[in-house]
Amino acid sequence: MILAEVVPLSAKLAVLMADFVGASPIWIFHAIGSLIVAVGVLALVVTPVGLGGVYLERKLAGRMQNRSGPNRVGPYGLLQTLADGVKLLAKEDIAQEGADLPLFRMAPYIVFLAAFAGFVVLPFAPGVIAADLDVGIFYFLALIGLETIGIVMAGWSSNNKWSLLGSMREVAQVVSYELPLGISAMVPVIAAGTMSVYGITEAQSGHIFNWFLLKDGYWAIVMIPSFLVFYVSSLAAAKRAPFDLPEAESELVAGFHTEYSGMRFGMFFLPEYAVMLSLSGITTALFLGGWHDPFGMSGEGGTFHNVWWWGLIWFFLKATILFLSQILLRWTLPRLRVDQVMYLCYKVLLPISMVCLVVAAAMRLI
Amino acid sequence: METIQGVKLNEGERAAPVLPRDIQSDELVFNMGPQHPSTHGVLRLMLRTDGEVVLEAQPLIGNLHRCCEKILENLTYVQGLPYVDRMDYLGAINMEMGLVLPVEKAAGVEVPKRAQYLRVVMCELNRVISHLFAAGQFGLDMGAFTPFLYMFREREEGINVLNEITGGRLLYHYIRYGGVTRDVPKGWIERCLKWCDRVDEHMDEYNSLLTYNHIFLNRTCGVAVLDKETCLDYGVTGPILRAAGVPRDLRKDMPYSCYEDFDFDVPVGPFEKGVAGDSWNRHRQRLREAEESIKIIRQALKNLPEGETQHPKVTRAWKAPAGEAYVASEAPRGEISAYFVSDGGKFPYRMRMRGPSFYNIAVLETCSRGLLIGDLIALMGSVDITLGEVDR
Amino acid sequence: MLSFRQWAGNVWNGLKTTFTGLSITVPYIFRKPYTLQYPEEVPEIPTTERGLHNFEVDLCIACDQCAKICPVDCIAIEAEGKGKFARMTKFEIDYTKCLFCALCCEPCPTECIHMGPTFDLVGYTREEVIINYADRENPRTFSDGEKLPYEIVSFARK
Ligand code: SF4
Ligand code: SF4
Repeated sequence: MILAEVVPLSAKLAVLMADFVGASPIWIFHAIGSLIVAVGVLALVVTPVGLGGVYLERKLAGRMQNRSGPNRVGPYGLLQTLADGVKLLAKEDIAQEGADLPLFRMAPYIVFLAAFAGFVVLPFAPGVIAADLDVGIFYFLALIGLETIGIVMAGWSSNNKWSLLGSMREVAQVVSYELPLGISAMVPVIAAGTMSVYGITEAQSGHIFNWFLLKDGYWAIVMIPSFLVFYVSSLAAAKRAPFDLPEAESELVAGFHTEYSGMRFGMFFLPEYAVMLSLSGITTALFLGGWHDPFGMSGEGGTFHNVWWWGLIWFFLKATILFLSQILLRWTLPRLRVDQVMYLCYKVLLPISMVCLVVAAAMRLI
Repeated sequence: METIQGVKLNEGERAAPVLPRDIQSDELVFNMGPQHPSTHGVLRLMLRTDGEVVLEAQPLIGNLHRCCEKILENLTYVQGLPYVDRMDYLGAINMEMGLVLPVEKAAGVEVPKRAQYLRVVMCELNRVISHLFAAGQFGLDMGAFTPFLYMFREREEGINVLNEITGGRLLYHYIRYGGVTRDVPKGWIERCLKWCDRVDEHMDEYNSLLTYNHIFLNRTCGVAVLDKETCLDYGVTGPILRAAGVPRDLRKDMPYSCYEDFDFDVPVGPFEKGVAGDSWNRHRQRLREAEESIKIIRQALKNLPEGETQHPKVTRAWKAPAGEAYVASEAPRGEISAYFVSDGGKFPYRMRMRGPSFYNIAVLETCSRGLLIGDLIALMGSVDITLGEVDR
Repeated sequence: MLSFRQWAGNVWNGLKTTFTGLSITVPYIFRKPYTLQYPEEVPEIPTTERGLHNFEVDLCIACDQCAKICPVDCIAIEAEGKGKFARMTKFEIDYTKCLFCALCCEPCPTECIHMGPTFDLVGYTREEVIINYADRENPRTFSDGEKLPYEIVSFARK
């Protein structure tokens, strides 16, 4: 609903501008208009998401380690990440000698773009979705692949061997986790009969046993393992420990972003949290019933049927719980080795997800 | 891979692609350190790798060289002691022990019993602190941040205990020729015992959070194995040697400073996971030894004899009579010893120290062939070197 | 080759130890932090702490004993007169060199140099961390009779 009103805004802006300037091809103004809207959305939505994520991570990490975490800037250190952002903005942007400058400069933008474009297909609440694509899940998985290209560019162009190793590891990781991620995402697709994320969420309408994770009619037998597979692969996709190999700081200094400084580093840093959140969101939509509450109040005939803010609350509650679990895991587990990531993905996650897929298909037929 | 192992690489020289393969793949030459996060100080490693596989790792040392031995030969006896603290700064009291034992033996000084017991207590306290640091640091190298800080918490408490008696937090300057600087203050013994209980309590936490974690086991079991023969060939000592299955501990084998009075074990095995001499067993060995050390502390504090803490003849202006001696003792990282010659003058005539890390670091070169970079970090973390003492 | 049993055991072990780990780390979130917030909460410094020196300038007889025993020669003394009537004009300790070994406190015949509890000293230049204790305007100087802010632990020995 919100976004549905926002999107035509760019068209309105374009018409206004075209009127103001006079004769010119209208598409230029459309482009400028959407740019302005995009910047506005970035400033209003993305920044709080990223900053909140960073703050949560640092605070939780601190408390888990018997420290207090950020507590200086603002009440409870809430403004700490903002202060860090300002610091990053004010820092000098250094490119090292011998770096492949065009690629070096472009890489953070690609990562940033890919990370935030994932939000487009997330159904936050009934009616609140930027673009209800028919192949929403494919779009999402493709964007995760796109992020990798940015990372490889960064590692290649930095003229630093540690960065190169980091990006090589990222590629090795991508080819391993993408298969189980994609295949386990197909299980809810089979159950719902659609690839649109919105459609999948709608198919889970009703109380908790309509959610795909615990769906009755024995669906839970395939859903719980494929949920676990999807969750573990999404940890790998977000480059979180125990899969933080591309930036393993005790092995590769800082991995692919060793040579980045200032806001360009920030452009790598912020998307990490955006990816975490969007992956939590898609997991919620695929397995945990999306915006539906566990009591069936948002289902057909429920009290809050099609009330967007009620859906929004539940969606963010579930996504935040997944997000927090990612943080808790990161600060508990050691890091895997590069061959162990492949072992895990190919020999553990892939067979489980394949079996689940076959069983799910069979169940659908029966 | 085998064909290029023999090729030596000079500094700055680029490796020639000598792989007799259909696909020519270039080797990478990495300069790991001195500012790398997990080289534990200022160690510099020249790595020759094929992708992630290490073909050769050459430790290049000397960045922290301070001429410790020569300085000792140019200072009076009492002035020299604070310097050895700076060798292995994580096991400072054990370093002092390594220096004073040969000098006292050469001079024939009989140290009062109470001072000997206090020395033992301090050495073992420092050993526990050092092992906690090493185990935590190893966890950090393996990507587990949280156990590192948990271990640091107990280490911090231990440092406070030591601080209360010695006045220093890292470089204690506690042991003197013929005794120790200071007797125990009031209430210190209770505080120390309380700390021992605390470490014992938390040992389970470390083990289940880090040591027996499935990922950690996979990362370290059977990785970078240093077997008995390699260890003995290279003169490797300390927990690394014991983790390889050789029960050599100087505290048991050649007791010094009343170690024969205490009842403690030299834990060798059981090698529950992995194989003897791998990274995991080195890590486990440290934690086991820390528990044994706590036993010794408890016994020593219980039976602390009354009496002097300083030999009355050994004053500030004391000079060792002519003579020479070599005594080895057990530091957290292995055998620390000194060969000492005196001509009866104001300064020691010759002082040569044998630090354990210097010998332990030598195995990096042989042991690192064919490891992945992640395993190399496991090797370095579990060998646990202090660069201050390698370079001296 | 792994048998299916071993494979399943591996997966089960991985899950189990992960939850063991979480059961240790997560409760810490609800406990009080162990750390101190440094500038506001100062850690308890034991009286034995070998921090920056405390020097009682009126007691010093400029005998140079402390400068002689210092292993790094970081004490520089200048005085007018000798013995009891000495008036110190300079008693500088160079903290870029000092080892905080407390050896200088031992030979002092009048016990006027002690190790103090101050553990922090910062400066932008090296000159800023060279302290002249004989500078009468310097607040670090403790004169005779005035109460020291902490209990002195004597390092004086034979
Ligand atoms: S503490 Fe040691 S190094 Fe510092 S001034 Fe005194 S004797 Fe010299
Ligand atoms: S030893 Fe004592 S009296 Fe002598 S110069 Fe030093 S501080 Fe002054």
